Amino acid sequence: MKPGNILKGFLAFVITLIILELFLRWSGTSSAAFVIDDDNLGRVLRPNTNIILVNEGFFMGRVNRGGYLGPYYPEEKPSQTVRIALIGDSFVAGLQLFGRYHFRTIMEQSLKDSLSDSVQVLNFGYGGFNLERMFIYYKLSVLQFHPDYVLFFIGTDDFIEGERQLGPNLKVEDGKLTIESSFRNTGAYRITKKLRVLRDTAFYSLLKKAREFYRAGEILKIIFDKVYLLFNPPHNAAEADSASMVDPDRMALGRSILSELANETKTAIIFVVKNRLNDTIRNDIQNAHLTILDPKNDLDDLRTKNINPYYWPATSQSGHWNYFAHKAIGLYLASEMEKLIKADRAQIKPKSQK
Amino acid sequence: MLFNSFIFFIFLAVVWLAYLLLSNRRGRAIFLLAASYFFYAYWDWRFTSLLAISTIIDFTVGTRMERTEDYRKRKRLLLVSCIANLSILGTFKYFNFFLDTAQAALGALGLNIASLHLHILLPVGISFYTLKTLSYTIDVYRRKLKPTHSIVDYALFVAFFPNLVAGPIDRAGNMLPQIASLKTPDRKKIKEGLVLITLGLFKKVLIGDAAARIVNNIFGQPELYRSPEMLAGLILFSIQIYADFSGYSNIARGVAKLFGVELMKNFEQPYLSRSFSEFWRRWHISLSTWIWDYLFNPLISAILRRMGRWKLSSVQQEMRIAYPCAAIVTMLLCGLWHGAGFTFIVWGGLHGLFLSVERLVVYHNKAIPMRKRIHGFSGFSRFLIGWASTQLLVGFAWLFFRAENLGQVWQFLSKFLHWQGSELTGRFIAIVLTFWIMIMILELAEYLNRSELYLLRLHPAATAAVCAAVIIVVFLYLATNKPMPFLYFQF
Repeated sequence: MKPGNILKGFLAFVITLIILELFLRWSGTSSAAFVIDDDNLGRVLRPNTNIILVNEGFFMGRVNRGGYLGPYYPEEKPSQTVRIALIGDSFVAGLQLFGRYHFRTIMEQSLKDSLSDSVQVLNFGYGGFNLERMFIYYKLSVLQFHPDYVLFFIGTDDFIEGERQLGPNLKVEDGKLTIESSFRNTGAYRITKKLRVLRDTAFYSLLKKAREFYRAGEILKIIFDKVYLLFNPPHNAAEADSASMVDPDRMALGRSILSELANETKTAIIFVVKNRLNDTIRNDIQNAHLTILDPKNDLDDLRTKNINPYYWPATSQSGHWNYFAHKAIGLYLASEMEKLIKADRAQIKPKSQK
Repeated sequence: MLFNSFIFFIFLAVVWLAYLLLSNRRGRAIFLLAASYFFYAYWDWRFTSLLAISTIIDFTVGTRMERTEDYRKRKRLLLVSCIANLSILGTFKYFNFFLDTAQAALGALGLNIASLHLHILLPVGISFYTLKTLSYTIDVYRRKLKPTHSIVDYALFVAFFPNLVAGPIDRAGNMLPQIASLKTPDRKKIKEGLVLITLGLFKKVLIGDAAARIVNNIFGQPELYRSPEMLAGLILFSIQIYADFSGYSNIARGVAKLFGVELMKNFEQPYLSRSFSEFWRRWHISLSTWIWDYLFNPLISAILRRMGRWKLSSVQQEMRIAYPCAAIVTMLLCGLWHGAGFTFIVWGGLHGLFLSVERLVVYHNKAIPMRKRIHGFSGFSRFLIGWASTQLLVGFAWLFFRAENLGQVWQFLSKFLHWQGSELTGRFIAIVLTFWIMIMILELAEYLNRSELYLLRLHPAATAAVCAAVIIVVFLYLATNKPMPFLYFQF
């Protein structure tokens, strides 16, 4: 092959990829990366970024300039304002539905209606956050926004060893929790930072998703379809008891986090049960004299009305909380928070601690 | 097996290589027939029996018709074919619809009868192969076609996997001679086939499926969306249906070319049409020509014959009555062919109405010309008005085509009438524009090059590179998203 032809071919290839990249990005088919690698926080949402996601639901929204979801509220809290921060994983991030239907919006509006003060609810949810990452994020970022209440959304899965991400870790030294940021000096982190331009492409998002599918063993299913199922029939094994899967190290770390949070004085810490929470963890939280809110009854009410809170009728898929669940959770949290705020104001109890 | 799935390409690679290795024509035909039945059985093996029954009936009818000169006997044989095919289609596609409608009507009169609703699965592609087999017997009846004496060839004409499930609805006159001489494809055909497959995958996967993911959410729960979002959903659906179906047709034609078979073109830049009549000459051409030949023409002839008795003063006057009658009835049936539901019937009726009004009012009962060259500012203005009004009304009619029921149509219309703004309007405009511009680029490239194989006009190295880049992105997308079925499979 002549060098001229190779050059023509290469140019055509690159130009086509650029056109496809722009099309994928602008049409919302594959969003460019909406995360950045922060030297302190590790991987977090990228401020001022539009996101379009079509998964079991349909999300179109924006990461505000503060680096969190929903409307932007500056770090300085105005007087006569109750500020509530939500921290949790993808259930809290809620990248499955428009912001107007997110439980944050419902909760904020409902509290604004019932309390005379202005209420601001900030959503610091991020997909993949476990209790350790939530705690680090709380310490390094959320506290800068001076929240009066911080709601940690947890479930048993937060105590299971998940995929390690490039970011700060917690270490227990002499019974004290310390944030360790040695990840900044790793080669992997430096390479990730250098390849930022590539990582910010829609094309890379597709590649990354393909890699995740491959790791989850989904790729072979997609490629070989019924033929794959012929040789690997789906087995209906009884759902493993997540309590038995809880990692002892994670549990120990979790307990340290709980005791650290129990000592918070400026901010009221509240735990919200995201899905299932095993009894050991529940007892640990209660022993640490921290409040637990559990919207289980409200979600069960939906089930009695034949509404599965995890089912998305438009796509016939199951996944995160759907519109009905968000509404139920928003109203539940608003009602519970209203009680707590009023009780705190009446000085019946010190900031929501039992 | 979906064309936009990996398993299809594995199947295609195996079948194609085996086909090339076979040197005997009859062996190739038998092998392709077996592969086609396997392809169909992959969905649900039980429905292959329907395909086989329909094939055997029409093959027998065709050969018996040839043997007799008796006009009545030939007509009876044609009736047998029509009744058999339409009964199968009616049972599997329309039985529940008519039953539910009758039940609802009786219920409105205060007569409640026990539900007879049957749980019947709609066999994939039944509407398409029924039209194929019907055209065969009608053409043999009209002596336009000599019936084939090879059951294998006929069965392959009906079941040829590239156009089995969603067309193009090719006629026996075009396909049977090609099947009778199944050749090894030359390099030119293979290149053309690969380019068509690439273009088809791009349209189907990156435009059609990507738009569908947004459209399905909006139409799935319209109560959650505001007016601009719903309007964007409707516009995206008009892009989705075109990208999906024309993409499918491109892949079907490309795959057929790999086996040396030329299938008819199904789309010719329909979204550049400036009249409804032009739109229907460019949209789903294999269906519109079928309807023209076997429904509209016989119908208008029958109406004119009857009107001859009324002794009107001129043919023009006769046409003024006959054309709208024939157009509306034909399009109502076309709507019903698309789906067993009132929304499809209204969609067909609307198109019949648009065609009639256009012919009688805009073009004063004269034949509507195909696209003319644009001369000067007035010519351009005329083009713009014609194009915009056609696309606007075609888009409006798509609402009926996509909506789950008439209630949902009303839900959309009431949101349009009581406009409610959205904070996401700008984002939706950007998305719609991106899809629309991409579709228009493809339409214009095809129009200006007067060929859908415009990529072959590039330097061979560039063509290969463009195809490779598209295929990489398409396959990456397919690897991370469950393949979406083609819209027309449901018909």
